[in-house]
Amino acid sequence: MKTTLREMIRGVNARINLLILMLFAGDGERDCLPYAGRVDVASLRQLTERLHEALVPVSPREEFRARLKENLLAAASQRLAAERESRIAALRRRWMLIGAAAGSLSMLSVAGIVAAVLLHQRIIRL
Amino acid sequence: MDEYALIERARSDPEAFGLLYERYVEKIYNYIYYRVGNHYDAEDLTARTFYRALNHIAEYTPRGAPFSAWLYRIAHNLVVNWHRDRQRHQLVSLEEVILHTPLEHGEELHQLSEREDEKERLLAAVRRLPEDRQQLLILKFVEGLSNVEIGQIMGRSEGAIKSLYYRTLLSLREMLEEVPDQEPTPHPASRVTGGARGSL
Repeated sequence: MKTTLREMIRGVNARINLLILMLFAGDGERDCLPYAGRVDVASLRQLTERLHEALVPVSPREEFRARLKENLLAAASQRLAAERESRIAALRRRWMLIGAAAGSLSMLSVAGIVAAVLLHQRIIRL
Repeated sequence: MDEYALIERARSDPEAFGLLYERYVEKIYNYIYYRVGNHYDAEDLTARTFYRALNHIAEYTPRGAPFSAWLYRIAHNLVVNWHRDRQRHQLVSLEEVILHTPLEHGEELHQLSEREDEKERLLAAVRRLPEDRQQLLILKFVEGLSNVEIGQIMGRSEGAIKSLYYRTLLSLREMLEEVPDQEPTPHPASRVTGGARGSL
């Protein structure tokens, strides 16, 4: 009889703890609710409060923040300039190749015409 | 400005990248600071995170996750490499977090000291957690992110994050119960064993 009563009291306690957690806990703690009935939720809630107190946001030094931004902007500008430069160089190389190919073709054509004329004249003479 | 448009602009406009930097520098710094435990390395790794982001922003493709998830991943990888490179005992100085604890209304100095000791004991326990659990606690408590956001950063589902969070709380509580009267790690500069653990 005594044991049953003790178990009932423990059960009621667990439910009360659960209710407290539901009422006051944040998003994270509520996520534990499916499991919460099996554990001492009050101690978990206390633990999350302690974590909130210990893990506080910190700020970087203003000087560091400003200097890093300046350096990043300079690096970004340099990178863009280098990319533009390499694009221009690639285009220049491409046009030079096209020009050389066209030049070679035209020289070959002229040589071909001259050879054809000379051959034609030799045939006439014979 | 819409984040996606800003990222698109940042690929070819340094000023737009500057805006992205302003938006995320504090979050990334906080995350790294709690993973490495000192301001000097936090500054170095924050700078490296943003340089890496700048060099690879052209290859960045949003896959449903926010831009911050990409930045956190870069920061996480750098922190992991940093721990790997340090195969010696680390100097973790949490004095700024601990010593700058303000006195609460009506609180005596010895009470503040007790509060600091308790806080340090908790942080020491957190430092002994596996890396992913430390990451989860930082994102949840320092950055104030939701489970969905944490899931996007850590590459896990919301349910997996909930479950991991619950298990983390249970192990932390167990660790604190195991050594209730253990002396806290000496401060102002606490020494913890290096490696994958002990990064907070």
